[in-house]
Amino acid sequence: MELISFFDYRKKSTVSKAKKGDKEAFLALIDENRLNIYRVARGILKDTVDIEDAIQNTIIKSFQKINSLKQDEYFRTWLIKILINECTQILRKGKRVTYLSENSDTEIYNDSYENIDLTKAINSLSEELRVTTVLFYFEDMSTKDIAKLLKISDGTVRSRLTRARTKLREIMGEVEI
Amino acid sequence: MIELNDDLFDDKIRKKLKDEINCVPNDINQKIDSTLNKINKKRFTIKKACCILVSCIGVTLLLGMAMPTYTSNIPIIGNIFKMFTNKIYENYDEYASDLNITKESSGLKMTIDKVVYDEVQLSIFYTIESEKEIQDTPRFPGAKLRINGKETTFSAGGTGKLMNDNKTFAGSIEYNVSKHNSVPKEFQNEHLLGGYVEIPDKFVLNLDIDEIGLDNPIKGTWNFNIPVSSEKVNGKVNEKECDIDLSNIVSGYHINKIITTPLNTVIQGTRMDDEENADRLSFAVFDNKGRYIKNKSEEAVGDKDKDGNYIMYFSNGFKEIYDDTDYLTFIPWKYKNNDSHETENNITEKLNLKGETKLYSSDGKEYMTITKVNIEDGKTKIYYKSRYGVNAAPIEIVDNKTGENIISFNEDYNFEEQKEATTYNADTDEYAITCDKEIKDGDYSVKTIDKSKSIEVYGDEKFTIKIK
Repeated sequence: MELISFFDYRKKSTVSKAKKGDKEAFLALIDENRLNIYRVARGILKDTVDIEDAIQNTIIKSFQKINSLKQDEYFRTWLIKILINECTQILRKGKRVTYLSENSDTEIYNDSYENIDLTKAINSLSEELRVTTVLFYFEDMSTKDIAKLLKISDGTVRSRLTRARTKLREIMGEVEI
Repeated sequence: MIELNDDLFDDKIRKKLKDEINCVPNDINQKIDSTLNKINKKRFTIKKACCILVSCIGVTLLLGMAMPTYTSNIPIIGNIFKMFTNKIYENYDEYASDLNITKESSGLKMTIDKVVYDEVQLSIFYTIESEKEIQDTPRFPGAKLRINGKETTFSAGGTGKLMNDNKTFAGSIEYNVSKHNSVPKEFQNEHLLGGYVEIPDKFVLNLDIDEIGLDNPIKGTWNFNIPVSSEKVNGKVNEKECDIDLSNIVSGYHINKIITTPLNTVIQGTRMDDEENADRLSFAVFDNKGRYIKNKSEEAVGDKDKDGNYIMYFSNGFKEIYDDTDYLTFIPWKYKNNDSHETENNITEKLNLKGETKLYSSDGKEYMTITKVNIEDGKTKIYYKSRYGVNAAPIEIVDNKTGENIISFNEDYNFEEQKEATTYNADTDEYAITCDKEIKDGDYSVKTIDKSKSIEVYGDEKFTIKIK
C-alpha cells in the first residue's frame, strides 16, 4: 500500500482539482511555487523582462496543459520543466544579445537586488552548465532526477556539475563562500 | 587555501544561493498576479501570450544596439564604440538628425540627442543625467506615444550605458514605426492601442514619459515633441510584392512583401498558428555576392479569426542590403518543436589541412564537412558544407600542441562576427569562414556545436527574391 503524507495528499488533491478545471486550485499551486519558479528563472536568465516573460508563459502553458500531467505528485518538476523550456527558448533567441552586452560593455539590465554575487556567477556559466546548476542548487534535485528531466545521462549531469563547481570555485573564491 | 570537498561546497552554495534570493521581487509578483488574474477571468488566450512573447523577442534582439551616432558627442562612448565590432549600425550616422531637446524633472535631465527614421524603424538616441547615482535602468516602457497627436503604440527595444560614476546614461530606443506595415487596418483598429494610424513622411512624435526606470521608477514629466522625417531616405526605400509560399514547412506561411531601406531589410507575411505553438521561421540570408545579411529582429501579432484559426502577421528584419546587391537568397530554418533542450553538444575532430574533415553528430549522421583550408593573403579561409549552413558556425580551431585557440567561440571570439563574416556560394552550396591568422603545418582540431537536435534547416526550400 502506498503511504502518503497529509501534505502530499493535499497537494495531490489540489493538482487533481486543477486538472479538472478548478482555477482556484491552479492559482494555489502557482502561489505555492512562486519562489521556486522565480529562483530558477533568475538563475538562468539575467534580464528582468526575460524573467517576467518566462514566468508568464510558464503559467499560461501549465494552465493549458495541466491535463497532460500524468502523475500529480510531480507537478512541481513538471512546472519547472516547462519553465526551463521557456528560459531556453529565450536564451536561444537572445544569444546575440548576450554577446553584445558582454563585449560592448552595454548595460542591458540592472539588478535592484543586492548581494547576489553567486547568482550572477551562475548566470555567467554556459547555458548547459547553468541549467544543470540551477536545478541542482536551487531545486535540490538529485543528479538522477536532473538527468531524467533534461533527457541526458546521469554521467553527463555529474560531469557538468564538476565543471560548474570548478568554475564557481574560480569565480567566487572559496574563502568568500 | 584548503579546498572544500564537493558535498560541503554544495551545501554552502545552496545555502548562500537561497539566502541571496529569499523572496520574489514586487515587479515579478505583480506579473504573476496579473497573469493569474487574466487566467481567472478567462480573457487570456495562448495566442495573445505569443503575441507578447514574440514582440518581446523583437525587443530583446534590439537590446544589443550600440549608438554609433552618439560617438561624436560623448567621448566616453567613443571608447565603447571601439569595442563594438558589430556592423549593424555602420550606416546610421549618415541618416541621423540632431535634435538636442532637454527636459528636466524630479532631478533627472533627459536630452533627446538624435533621431533616425527610415520608414521602417524610428531610433531615438538620448542621454539621462542625474546629480545622484542612477540606481535603476533608466528605460521608459510605459511612455505614451502619439503621432501628430493621435495615440498609438509600437513594439520597441533599446539599449544604453551608464557612465560618469553612474550619473549619466546614454541610451537608444527603437520603435518599429513602419509606414509599410502589412497588418490590416481592421486588425489594428480592433487590437492595438490607438488603432490604425497613418504614418506620414513627416510627423511629430509626442513622447510623453511619466516615469523612468524599471524596478523602482522615478515619477516625473518628460514630454517631448520630436520632429521626424524620412526625407534622408527619400527615394531609397523600396517596397516589393512577392509570393513565397512556405506552407509545407509552417502552416499557412506566406511571404508577401519585402522592403529595403538604407538601414533595414524587412520581409512581411502571414502564417497560421495552432493552439499550442507559435511556429515561426527564421532565415539565413545571403546576397548574390555571398555576403551574409544579418538578422535583426522578429515580431508577430495576431489573434483567433472567426473560424478559430490564429492568423499571425509576422515581420522579420535584417540588416540593410549592399549598394550592389541584386538579389537575396533566404534559407529557412526553425527551432524544433520538441521538449528536449540542452541538446547542443560539441563535436571535435582533428583538422585535415590537406583534404576534407568530416564532423558527425552523436547519432552518427554527417554534420559538417570542411572541404578545404586555404591560405589567402596571409589569412586562412575555411570552406565547409553543412545542411545547417551558417548555423553550423561558430567553429573553433585549436592548436593541439600549444592549446591555443586559433579561432575560439568560448570567451573572446565574437560568435556574431564569425557569422557576419561567413560567405555563401549558392552554386556550390559551400560556406567560407575567414580567420586572420595563418593555419598551416601543424596539428589542429576543429570544434563546433551540434545544432542538429535543436534546429531544422530547410535547404531545399531556399528561395531568392530579386531586389533590383
